Amino acid sequence: MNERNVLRAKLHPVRLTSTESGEMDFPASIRLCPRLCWAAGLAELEQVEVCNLTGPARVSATVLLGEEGEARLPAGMSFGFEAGDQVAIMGVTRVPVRRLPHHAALLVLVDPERNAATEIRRQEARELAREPSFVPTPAPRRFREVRLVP
Amino acid sequence: MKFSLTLTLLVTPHPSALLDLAVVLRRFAPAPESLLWSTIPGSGEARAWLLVELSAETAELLCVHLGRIAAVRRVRLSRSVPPSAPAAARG
Repeated sequence: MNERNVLRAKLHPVRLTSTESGEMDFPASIRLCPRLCWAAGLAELEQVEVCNLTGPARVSATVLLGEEGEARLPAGMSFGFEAGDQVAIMGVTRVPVRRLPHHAALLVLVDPERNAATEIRRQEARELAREPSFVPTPAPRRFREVRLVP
Repeated sequence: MKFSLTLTLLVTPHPSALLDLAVVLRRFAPAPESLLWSTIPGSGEARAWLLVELSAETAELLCVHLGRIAAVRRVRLSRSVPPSAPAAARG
């Protein structure tokens, strides 16, 4: 089936509260505030991309539910990340091309001081049905035929 | 603390948008001090502006729950500062 990888949910910008491993962490995971997960519709054990907005690092991680306001990358995968860095967390999904016009991504804007949601948006994918600079030629004007009666 | 919530809703495919909004408001907040509601003709969209007095945590929770309503395209939470406040507080 013809499918595309598209953005499903994004949390932005989240402040990393810690880059130390906890007892219950497993490698390649990120502990996130449950309220933020709920706002973005992220499930526990869902795979997400974590991009550092203050540096070039980017990793794939599995979501684990953490404490209120928490965003913690364990030490094993925090190369390029430091506590206090702002990150974007993105969940992607595969959508059939015919369903793309009906797909909406959930964008959650976060206050990085408290790691609390301040704005939630649904963004739909716009479909490009034709080349954007294409201008259709105007239809020829039709004149009414007037017969002059002698 | 007073918070203002700005909402954009799609009312055309979701005729129960206002009802869903009322249910969430009733569950998480007292009656808003102000509520402005306007429908944009032809677009199927409606905008709402609410002024509520809540604690910061409850306001954030309300924002998250409003964002989960299928009809809500956008919800923005901001601290409402009265016009009489000093300019520094208004930003």
